[in-house]
Amino acid sequence: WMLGVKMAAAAASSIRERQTVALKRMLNFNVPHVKNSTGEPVWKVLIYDRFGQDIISPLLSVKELRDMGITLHLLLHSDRDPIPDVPAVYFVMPTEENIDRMCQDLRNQLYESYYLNFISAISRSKLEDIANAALAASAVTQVAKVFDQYLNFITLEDDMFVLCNQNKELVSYRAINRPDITDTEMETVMDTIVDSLFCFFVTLGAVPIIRCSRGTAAEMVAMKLDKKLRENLRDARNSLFTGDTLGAGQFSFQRPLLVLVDRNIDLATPLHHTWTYQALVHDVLDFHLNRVNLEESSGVENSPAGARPKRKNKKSYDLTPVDKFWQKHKGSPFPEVAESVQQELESYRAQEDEVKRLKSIMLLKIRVLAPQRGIIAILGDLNLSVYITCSSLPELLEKKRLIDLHTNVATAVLEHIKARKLDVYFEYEEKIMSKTTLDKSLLDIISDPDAGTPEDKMRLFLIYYISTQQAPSEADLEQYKKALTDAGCNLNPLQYIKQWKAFTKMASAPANYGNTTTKPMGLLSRVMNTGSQFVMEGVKNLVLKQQNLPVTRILDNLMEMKSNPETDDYRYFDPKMLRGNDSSVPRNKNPFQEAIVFVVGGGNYIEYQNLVDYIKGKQGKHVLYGCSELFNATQFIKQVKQFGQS
Amino acid sequence: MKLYSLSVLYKGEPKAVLLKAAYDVSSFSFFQRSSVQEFMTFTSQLIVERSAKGTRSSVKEQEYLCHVYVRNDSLAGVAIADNEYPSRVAFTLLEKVLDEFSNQVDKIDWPVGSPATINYTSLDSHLSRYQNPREADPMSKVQAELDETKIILHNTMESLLERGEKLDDLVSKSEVLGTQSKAFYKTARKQNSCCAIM
Repeated sequence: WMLGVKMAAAAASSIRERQTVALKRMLNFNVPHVKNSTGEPVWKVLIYDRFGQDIISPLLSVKELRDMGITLHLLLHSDRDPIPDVPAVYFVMPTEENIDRMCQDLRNQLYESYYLNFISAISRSKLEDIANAALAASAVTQVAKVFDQYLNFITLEDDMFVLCNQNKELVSYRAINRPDITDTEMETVMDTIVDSLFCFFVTLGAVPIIRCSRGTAAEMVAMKLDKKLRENLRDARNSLFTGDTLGAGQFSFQRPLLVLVDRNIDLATPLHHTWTYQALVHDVLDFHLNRVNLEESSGVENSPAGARPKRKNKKSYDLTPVDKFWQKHKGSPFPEVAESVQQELESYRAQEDEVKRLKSIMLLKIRVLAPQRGIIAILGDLNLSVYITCSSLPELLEKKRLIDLHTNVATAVLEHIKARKLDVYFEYEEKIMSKTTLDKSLLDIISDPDAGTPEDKMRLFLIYYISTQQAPSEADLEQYKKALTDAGCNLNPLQYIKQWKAFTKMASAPANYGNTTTKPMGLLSRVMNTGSQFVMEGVKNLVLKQQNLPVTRILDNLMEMKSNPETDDYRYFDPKMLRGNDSSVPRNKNPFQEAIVFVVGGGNYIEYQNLVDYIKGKQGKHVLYGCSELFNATQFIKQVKQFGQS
Repeated sequence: MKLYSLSVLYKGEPKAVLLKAAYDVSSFSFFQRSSVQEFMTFTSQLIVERSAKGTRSSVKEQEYLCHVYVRNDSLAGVAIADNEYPSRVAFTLLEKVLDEFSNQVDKIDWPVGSPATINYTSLDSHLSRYQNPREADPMSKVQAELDETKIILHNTMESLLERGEKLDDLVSKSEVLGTQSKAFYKTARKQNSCCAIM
C-alpha cells in the first residue's frame, strides 16, 4: 500500500521534472540518462530551432548542457561549419523549412552522425523527404535515430506550463476571439492548441478525464483532444500510453482531471492589479519565460535641453527553481518580500561577519601563536577554521547573489508601486470584485492625476464595468468616459468589453468572497525603521485573504464533485471509454487527487497563484496550471484594443 | 453601419413561418455566431407574430433595430440592423424584397414553406449589397408614399408582448433556440444585462 502511495505521489511529480528527464534522455542519444554515471559524456553538438530553444532554456542551464556533453549549441538556421567527427543532436519542429535545412546539412556532410528529434510528430511524407535526402547524400548510415519527442510545450514552473512562445500570436486571445475568423483558420488554431496538449499528456504519462464548458473554444479543444487521445489509445502498435512511457503514472490509482476553461469566463483577472511578488514582476516589469529584464537608469532624469539622457544599464536575471528565495517568496505579498530581503541581508551580514571573525582569528593564530607554539600545534584549529570558512563560502556567495538580485528586482517593483499607487488600485479592485462597499468614488480615482497611468485607470474602470451587477446608466457612463478620456485613456477596450458582457456566460459571484484587510502599522515598523533597503513609507501593508477566483472556483467544483449550476452542465469526456460518450453525467463519482487546469485564450500569474494557494490547503492534492499564452494586463489590453478598431 | 439579417416570413395564425433568411454574423466572434443567428431568427418570428397586417414597425433593443413590414397578404419581411443604419433604406429594401419574392414564389407555398423548400435565392446578395446603403438604390427610387409617421416605434421587445407574457417564457419554449443559446440568455438576464440582441 505504501508503495502505491509513493508511486501515486511520484505520478504527481512535477511536469518540469518529467520534461527535463525527457530532454536529458534525448541529449543522451535517446537512451535513459543515469545520474552520476562514471566516465565522461560523449561530446556532441546540439542543433535547435527557436521552438526548441524556448523549451530547453527554462529547464536546462548552459552548465547542465555542458555536463551532458554539449560542447556547442547552435540555431538550425545559422551558418554552421562542418564538424565531421562529432555527433549532432537535433531538436526542431517538423516544418518544411526545417526539414529542408536538415536535408541540406546531410548533403553537406556537416557532422559524424545525426540524431533527429522532432518536437511534435513529423508527418510520413516529410519523413520520406529526409530519407531521400539521406540516400542522395549517401548518408543513410549516419542518420542514427529519428524520434518524435512529443515535447511541444514550455514548462515554466513545477506546476505551470504554456503552449508556446514563437507562434503565440497564432493561438492568442485575439486569434481565438476575433470576429473575422474563418472556419479553416479556427481549425488551425484549435489543432495547434490540441497538438501541444497532446504532447503534454504524453510527457505526463497519463490519460485525463476531460471536463469543459459548452459553446466555447474550450469545448472545441476538448472534443479534438478527446478524439486525438482516443485514436492514439486504439492504435495498439503506436500507442504512446503503454507501460514503459507511463513510468510512475501507471501506478497511480486515479487518473487526473483536465479542466478546460475559456478565458471569456473571467476577463477581470487578466486586468487586475496584483500584490504578490511573481505576479507583480510579470505585471510591471519585463518578465518573460522566467527571465526578468531590468533597466537601471543611472543618473539624473531632468537633463537640460539638448543634453542626452544618461545611458540605462540593462540587467537580466533568470528566476529559477534553484533560487531559494524566489521559490519561497514568489507567491508572497510584496511587503513580506521586502521584509524578507531585509532579513536575508541581515542574516548574510551576520554570517559574513562570522567568516571575517574566523579569518582574523586564523591570521592571529598564524602570526602570533605559530611562532610561539609551532605550526603543528595550531594546525588542527586552522584546519577547522579553514573548513568552516570554505564550506560556507559557496553558500554565502550564492546568498549574496540572490540578495543582490532580489534587491534589484524588488526595488524596481517598488518604484512602480509608489509612482503609480498600485496598492490603492489593488485594494479598490479587490473590493469591487468581492462586491464590498467602496469607500472612495471610482470617479475620484480616475480623475486623480497622481494615481496611476492612464492604463491603470482603464484597467480599474473595466474591472468595475465587468463586475458590476447593474450596468451604469447612460449618463453615468458618459461621465466615466469623459473622465477616462481626460486622463488620457483610449476607450477602444471598453467597446469590446461591452459586447463581451452582453454575451458571455459569466461565472456568478461567490457568496463568500473574502476581504482584503490592512495590517496594523506595527508589523511594518521593522522594515521602515531599520534603515531598510526598501522605503515602504506610504505603501499600505495589505494582507491577502484567500478568495477563489472564478477559475479556482470551477476547479473546486469539478475536482471535489460539488454540484453547482455553474459547472453542472460541463461536458464529460473519457478517452479511455470504448464508446464515444459525451454525456455530461460523470462516470467517476470520487473527488480527484490530481488536476490540470488549462485556460484556452490565455492566463496570468494571478490566476496561477490563486490555484497554488487553493491547493496548498488540500493535503495530497496537486494542481497544474496551463494556458495558451501568458499575458500581463498591458499585453491583454493591447489585444483587446485591436478589436475596437475593426 | 451594419445590416445583420434579412428574412422573409409568412404571418400565419397563430405562428409566423420562416420562409427564407440571410445573415451576416461576421462581426461576432466564432463561438457566438450560432447563438446570435438563432436569436435573430427567434426575434424575427416573434416580431412578425405580434405585428398587425398592413403595418410597418421598428423595434429597438439596445444597439439594435428590428424593422418589420407585414403586408396585407400576410407576407412579412424583417431587417435587423444597428442604430446607425437608416430606417428609410431598410423599409425600401423590405418592400423590394417582398415584391420580388411574391413574384418568384407561388402564394400557395407561403403558409407551409421553409427555408429548405422555398426557391428564392437573392436574399444573400441583397443583404450584402445593402450593407452600404449608398451603393444600393439611389434615393430617387425610394417610395414617395412612404409616410414615416405611420411607422410604429417600439422602444423595447417587451412592448410587443401581451399583458402577463414574459420574454423569458417565450425563450424557454422556443424551438428555434438551441440549449446553448437559452443558457446564454438565462445567465445574461440574471446579471441584469440584456442579451445583446434581445
